[in-house]
Amino acid sequence: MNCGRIEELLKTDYIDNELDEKTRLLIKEHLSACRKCAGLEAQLREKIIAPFKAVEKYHPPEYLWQNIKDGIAPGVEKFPLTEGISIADRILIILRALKPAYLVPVLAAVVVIAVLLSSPLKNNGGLDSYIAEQSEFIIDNNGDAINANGLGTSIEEYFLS
Amino acid sequence: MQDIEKDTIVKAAGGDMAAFEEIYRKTSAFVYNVARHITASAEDADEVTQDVFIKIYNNLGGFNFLSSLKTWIYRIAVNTALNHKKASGRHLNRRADYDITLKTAAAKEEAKDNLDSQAKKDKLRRLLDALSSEQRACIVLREIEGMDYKEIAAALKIKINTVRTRLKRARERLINLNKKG
Repeated sequence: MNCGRIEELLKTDYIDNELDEKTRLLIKEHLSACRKCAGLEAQLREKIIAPFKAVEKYHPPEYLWQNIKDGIAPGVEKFPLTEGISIADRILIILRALKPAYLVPVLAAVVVIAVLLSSPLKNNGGLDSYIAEQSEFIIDNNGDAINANGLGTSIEEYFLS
Repeated sequence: MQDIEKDTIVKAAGGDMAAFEEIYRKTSAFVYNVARHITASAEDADEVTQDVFIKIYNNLGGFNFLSSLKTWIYRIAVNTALNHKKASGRHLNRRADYDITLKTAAAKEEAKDNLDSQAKKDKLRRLLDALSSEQRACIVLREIEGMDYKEIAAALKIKINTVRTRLKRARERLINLNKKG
């Protein structure tokens, strides 16, 4: 292992105890022989890691619990959880909650709805106008058929009656 | 963070305030500490902590037990704190004078406290300020909360290699900061 690779591991897995024992010993051996890498390790531990360990933890003030209780009182508007669960997770949760027997029909229904919603016939102006024209034509023809058997207008009634 | 029993979660999800308070008592130190370090402000940490626990309460019913409650809370806490920091960053210029006044008052007050402790906090603040929000979240979870790579990856919903990369870049930046003085 060369110094470049050792430096990479020093800044991450070695300093964070994420390495397997064999690799850790290899690096330790290298550090005992390489002043440059040993210097980096010392710098990391003293200047970069130690300041974080030395600071005491903050504790939430007691009034926060009261504020939270007030915030979740009945009638208070609920906050939508957007950070915690992704859309993919939500779909997964719904699918897992379904009984196996219902899973296939539900998935089939979802696919059919998705196909219908994305169908090229949806919002097709040409098809809509064609259906409208055909409907008018049928209605008009039916109307003619009805009028052919009788007197459709007041003028016809005047001359023919 | 202490472990929380399933029974407590179920009771809290059903509106049992005593059970919810137990969850709060066991997890609020983590949430507040992370919020305080990510936002760098006591007032913002208060707001983030309140927001996080109201979200938890309102959404416990939808908790699916696929991950641990701790991981779920880690994720909500870190994301809420990061979002809060981004949002307050947009108002930074307008708040600048107000913040200076607050910091001056706070500094005078803190001067009465332990000077050594204050120096440590100042140093920590300088280090964290040098990092991006994502790097800062990784460093806080690793160095202050002592979480391992797997836990950080689960909390931030990122790959372990991304955790590794963010920590490496953060530490390189901190080394450069130290070199400059």
